[in-house]
Amino acid sequence: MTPSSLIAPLSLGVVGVYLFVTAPPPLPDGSEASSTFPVETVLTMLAHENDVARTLYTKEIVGQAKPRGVEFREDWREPDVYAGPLPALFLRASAERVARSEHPLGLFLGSDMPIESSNRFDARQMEVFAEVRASREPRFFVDERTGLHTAMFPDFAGAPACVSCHNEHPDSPKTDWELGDVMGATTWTWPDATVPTDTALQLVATLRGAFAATYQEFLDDVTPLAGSPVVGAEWPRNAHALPDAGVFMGRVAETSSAESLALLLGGDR
Amino acid sequence: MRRLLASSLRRRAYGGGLVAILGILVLLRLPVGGWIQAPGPATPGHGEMRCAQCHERAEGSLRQQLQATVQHALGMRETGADIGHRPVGDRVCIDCHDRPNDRHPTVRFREARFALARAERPVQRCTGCHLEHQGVRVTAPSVVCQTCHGDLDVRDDPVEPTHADLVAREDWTTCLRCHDFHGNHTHVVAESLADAISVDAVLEHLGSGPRAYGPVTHEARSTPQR
Repeated sequence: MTPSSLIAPLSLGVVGVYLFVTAPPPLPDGSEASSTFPVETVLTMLAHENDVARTLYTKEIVGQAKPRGVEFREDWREPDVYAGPLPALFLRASAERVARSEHPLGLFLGSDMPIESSNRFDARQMEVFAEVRASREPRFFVDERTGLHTAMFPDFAGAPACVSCHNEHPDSPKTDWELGDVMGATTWTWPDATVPTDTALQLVATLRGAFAATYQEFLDDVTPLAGSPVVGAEWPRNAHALPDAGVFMGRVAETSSAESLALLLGGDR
Repeated sequence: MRRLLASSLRRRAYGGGLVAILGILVLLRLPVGGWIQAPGPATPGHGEMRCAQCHERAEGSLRQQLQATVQHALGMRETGADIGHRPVGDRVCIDCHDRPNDRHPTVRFREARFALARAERPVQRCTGCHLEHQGVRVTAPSVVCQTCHGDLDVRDDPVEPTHADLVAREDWTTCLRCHDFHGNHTHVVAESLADAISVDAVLEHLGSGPRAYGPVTHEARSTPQR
């Protein structure tokens, strides 16, 4: 055997050692999650968190602050507009923040009769939404267009303002909504059938963080005006005031946490 | 004698090649080597940025990265690893360009109903329209609006000609003459196409020319927010 004929096997041996034998500690593998929840459980819990935050915003902020002169408008984010977001736009702004987080969680709002045409369901989502409207219960499925695990939760007309705003809006394709109607659905997406335990908890924190940031953006938008409500510990139900983001999110956590934990521990509701 | 000379020349050639390869590798590892690796000129406004502001080092040492990749390829672990640098994703862009009131946030295009738009180009990612190292602001064609707005119906349309007329004649070059796609400029929408920005000015803006929509309302952060 000549020295040159040894080069190839020696080289392979060195590469083998480099890649396998005297290995440094391996990088974390994606399969190493110790425990997981079914995606349906986690999305149900997040939908509950969303319900609590949105209901609180709709009834205690929009419903109570509007009679005191605080405006809530579609174009609330325009630079020369000093107003808060309508409830659906509060969700939209929070969903955008969630989407920018490190987690591949999707949250969208849609309907078969939306004011904004780009929010109209189509294809499979329209079929599933028909089931949601008929049953008034959530549906879980894998959307073949995205390959994502998808959960659709009914979005009820829970306050008179929902009905009147949608019935009176010039671009609304439906003008006979009634209180309690399923007006649309909040749609959640996640790439896998399970969610690691620590990720599930991080998702709650991410969602609450998004609500807090959107609420703070609302406060920053409406408080520069002269005579604007005092921001602090009081609620508009009791005074010409708005709760600060800490107080608002404290109420959200107080209302939602027990049920969220029960959903995680007990599986399906 | 001739064979000896040929052998000596061959050895010098191999040696020279090895030195050249090592030199290039060393140059590529140094910060000053960035201009060699960049596939083209930076997007306008990005010229002063350091490579590392977007190209973050991947987790682990090169050896760990290679091991994970090879073992993943052989089915010995579930996930592989990025080698060298992490892919540049939307988060890197948003670290500097995040702002409220984006008229077309990329996250919206992740919805199932925008499957057609995603099939045409990856609009759910910043790089779907803004590929870096091309020397221009926008790498998507200026008529992308047609994918989603083909059924546009504007009630009590105040503009002249109407949106319905423009859609009917498929004049998709007119959209950006009035509408600032992300809404990040002080631009006021014209009520008549005659008062709108010219097609040439729009194309210059999408390229590397002067901004067509006025000053930006939210300047990008010069330091990423991480």
